[in-house]
Amino acid sequence: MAQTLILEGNEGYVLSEILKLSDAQHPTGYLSNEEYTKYFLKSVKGVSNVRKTLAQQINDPTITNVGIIVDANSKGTKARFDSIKSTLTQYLPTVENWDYVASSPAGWVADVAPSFRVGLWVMPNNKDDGYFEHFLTELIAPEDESFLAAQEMLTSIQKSKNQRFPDLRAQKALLALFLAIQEEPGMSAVTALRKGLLRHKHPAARLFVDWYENTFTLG
Amino acid sequence: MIEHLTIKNFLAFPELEVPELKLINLVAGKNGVGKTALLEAIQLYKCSDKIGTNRLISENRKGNIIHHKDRIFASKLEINNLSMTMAVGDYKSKVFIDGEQVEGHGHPDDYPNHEYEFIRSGIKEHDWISRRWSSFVLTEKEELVTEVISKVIGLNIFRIAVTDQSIMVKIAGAKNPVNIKSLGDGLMRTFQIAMALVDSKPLASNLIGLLLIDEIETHLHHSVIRKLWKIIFEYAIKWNIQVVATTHSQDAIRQLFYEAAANESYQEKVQVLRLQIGRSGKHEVIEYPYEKLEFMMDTKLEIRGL
Repeated sequence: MAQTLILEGNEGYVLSEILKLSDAQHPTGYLSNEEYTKYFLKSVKGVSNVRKTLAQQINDPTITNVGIIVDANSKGTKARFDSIKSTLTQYLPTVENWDYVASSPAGWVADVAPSFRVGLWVMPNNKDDGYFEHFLTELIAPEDESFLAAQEMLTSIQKSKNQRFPDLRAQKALLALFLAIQEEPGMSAVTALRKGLLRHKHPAARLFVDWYENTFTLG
Repeated sequence: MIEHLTIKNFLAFPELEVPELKLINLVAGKNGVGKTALLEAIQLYKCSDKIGTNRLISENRKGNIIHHKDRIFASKLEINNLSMTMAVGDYKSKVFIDGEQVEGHGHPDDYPNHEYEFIRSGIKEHDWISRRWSSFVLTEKEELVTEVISKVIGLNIFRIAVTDQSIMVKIAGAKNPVNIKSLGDGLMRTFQIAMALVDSKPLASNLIGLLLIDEIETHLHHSVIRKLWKIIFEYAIKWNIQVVATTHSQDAIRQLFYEAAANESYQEKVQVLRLQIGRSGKHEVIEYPYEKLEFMMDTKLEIRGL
């Protein structure tokens, strides 16, 4: 049994930390950390590479489970769902059970062919536009004062002439600002998860863990 | 050149389609999936005469049973039910085996003397090597073989002599010859591949040779495999030899890729073919031309299922 998790960006380590803190098991066949990071996680750059990588996985009959994590960005979840569907229909003789259901907070998981399960998670929440950082900032406690401070900083930067990033990437800036002003300045998201500043028990993270557990065969 | 290939009812294959063959082809796949059978199918096609077919049956597959799910194939080639089609350039020819017509496209002049060279996975017995080498000695081919071996293993081999019992190698500058065995199985294997490579050189520049190598990685260290690919590319292009090799080693694939990555002109001439039982339960070939190999390497995707 071979399984892979295809990621559009480099969020694999952070998401793996959420899984680890939630006591999710490693996928069957990838029990060591090396097997997990080297062979299970496939970080590729951009959606077109996600599709190419998915095509490779479909063409390999030893692959039984594939998870895909992409950002909705401003394209919307349906566009992402359809793009995965077109790759599936291109390379599989028949595709079953892959029908779009709007606002599917638990992501989409289906046995699309015999011995072939596909799970799709569209960041941030399988519903709204946005990306990975929207998902992560959701995990910050709303009363966290450093988060309020980060939001104020972002607002003042946006009002000034010093905003160098495009508006679409503001949430990345916000998360970076939040992490920048922690006890350890420029803290990593992994450390923030370990310290509970990003809460892995938040329902949004819980849904992600469920999606992972539904997509893969574990243990 | 064989450009595409359809095999029907041959050994493990009820049907197998290879949409495209390039100059250099590496067939990868699990043990028992039929890599050797694929080479044998090509070989059988080349043995278009009855003598060739008999030779094939008596030499190969002795007591060798191929299992394919619920089907067990007998210990000899099933040629009564054989049909194959192939395209070789624009030419057409017909081949009959046991009264059965083999539809094909190919010109007999493509392979005037040396129909093909087939290097199997093991090391040949001494008699075979001895006979073969005696046809090389004192000809241009002798020099070519020593040149090829020297390049592959990185030793300057001056001469090779095959006696009744042993194969002796004289390294340039060394006082005495040494027994090839003392230099390892890798050199023996390289010696055989080098002879086959030189012998598959076509007799005229408008012809094309064919070299089949089963389990190319056998006995070879990965650093040697890289050099072997280098030599295969160099001579296959220079002499016009089509190469079909098999492997079940990731490393052989990687070394092939590295060699092609370092030489842009090689990239359109090479491909890896993964032979597998697909999701449909049928044999299939997945083609990995250079760009696809590059993507696999970049994303650290192994060509899995080997």
